[in-house]
Amino acid sequence: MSGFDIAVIDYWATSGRSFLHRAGPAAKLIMSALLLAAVVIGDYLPLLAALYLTLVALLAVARVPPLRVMTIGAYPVVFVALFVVSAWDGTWQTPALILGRALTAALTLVALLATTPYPRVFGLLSRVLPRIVGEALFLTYRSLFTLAEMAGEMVTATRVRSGVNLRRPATNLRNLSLALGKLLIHAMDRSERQYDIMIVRGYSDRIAAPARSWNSLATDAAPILLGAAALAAAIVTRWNA
Amino acid sequence: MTHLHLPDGVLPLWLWAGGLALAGVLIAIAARVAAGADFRRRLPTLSMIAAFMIISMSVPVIPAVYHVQLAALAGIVLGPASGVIAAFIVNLLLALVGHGGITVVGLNTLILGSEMLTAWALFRVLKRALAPGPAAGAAAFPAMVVGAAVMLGIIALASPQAGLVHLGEVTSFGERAHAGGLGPLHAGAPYAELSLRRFAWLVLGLGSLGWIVESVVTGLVVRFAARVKPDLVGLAPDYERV
Repeated sequence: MSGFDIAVIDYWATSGRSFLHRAGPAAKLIMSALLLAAVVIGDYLPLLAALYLTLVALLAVARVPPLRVMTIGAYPVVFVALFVVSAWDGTWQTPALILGRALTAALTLVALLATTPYPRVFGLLSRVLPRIVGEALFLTYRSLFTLAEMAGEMVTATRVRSGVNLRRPATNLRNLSLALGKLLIHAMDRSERQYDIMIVRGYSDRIAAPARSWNSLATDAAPILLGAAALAAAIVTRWNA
Repeated sequence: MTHLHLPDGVLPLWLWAGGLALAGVLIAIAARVAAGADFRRRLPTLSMIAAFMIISMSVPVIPAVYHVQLAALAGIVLGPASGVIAAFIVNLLLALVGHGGITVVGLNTLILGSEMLTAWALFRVLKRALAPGPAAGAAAFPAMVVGAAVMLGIIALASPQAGLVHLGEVTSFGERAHAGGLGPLHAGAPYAELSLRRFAWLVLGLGSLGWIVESVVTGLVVRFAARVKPDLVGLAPDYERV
């Protein structure tokens, strides 16, 4: 997980012109919710595999690099590994179920954010969140780009000055802590300037979010139908035993 | 890793739904408290610290294995109400990019929030007796232990008697559950169950080294911040935390 990944996801979301990019954010949010419900309910491994492959195919059709998205969506593997070891029963099915659920859920969300610009997603989420939480969400996401650049430069500078030496972990720790300290101070200075800029630009207790949640019926129906089909399949396979 | 983000699909619905509800209540209270304390001015600070927590995860303190999240540091800087909101935002954003589960955002918020609140409270007490750096380091370690304890408690809630968390029946290729859909699918794999004891050993074993590293980093960062910008860590009298 890095700021670079977030920048790349943001680029895919804003530069894409596919049918999935054109679908309304509300439709894609509903699709994601239905897919997540299918993942949570689903205990039939072929179904989980089919859902995962469908998402990969959708992303490929939407011209979002599937391998890169799969890599980003594979972050939960690190955490899931602990659950897999703890639930190890000598079979392959149990790890496959745990991994399948976590990976499909993660890919669903990465697919949402890779095809929908973040102001549109956050605009919808803000409607159900307390106002200040919604606004903090917008500003945090925006701040990530600023900080990612600063952090990258700071780590590079530390390395160039021989501040990172694998043989001296204590020195590493001290130098990188100092780099993080500087980053924190810069971040706070930046946040103070950001407040001044917001006031100058007329901020009055509300950050405007894009109002349009839906597109045409033709573009919005497909994602919702896909999500509904996935959920129906999960329900059928679970209770049709 | 110093923090374990619960993934989707490993906990029962009632548990993560309950976590969402409880976190929702806490966030609503935090938003109400924060809104009454010049929140307009504090909003960029909260957002920048939440972003700082996420970005710090990509800084390799020990190559490849551990990353810090500096939740204790964020708790010390932000205070309780803003801390809870930041914990939610961090977990939501991480979940949206596939790092941690979306259904368990509430539970992950409770875990991270408990850590931030503990660090904030302990730092307030310890800074009276210790210099800011050591006080922050000493506050960070127990805060992370509390976070881990909350996480283990959450997982234990799923099956307090047997110490086994039922993950659901595994239905494999072509094999169907019998005995009303609840019975074993094949020999050796009746259910997917998680051993709480094994999980606790793994979390505590892997986590303890990370907690030491993160405590040291937190202490060093706060020591630096206290020299350069003392108001940031509550060493200026006019700084109010909410």
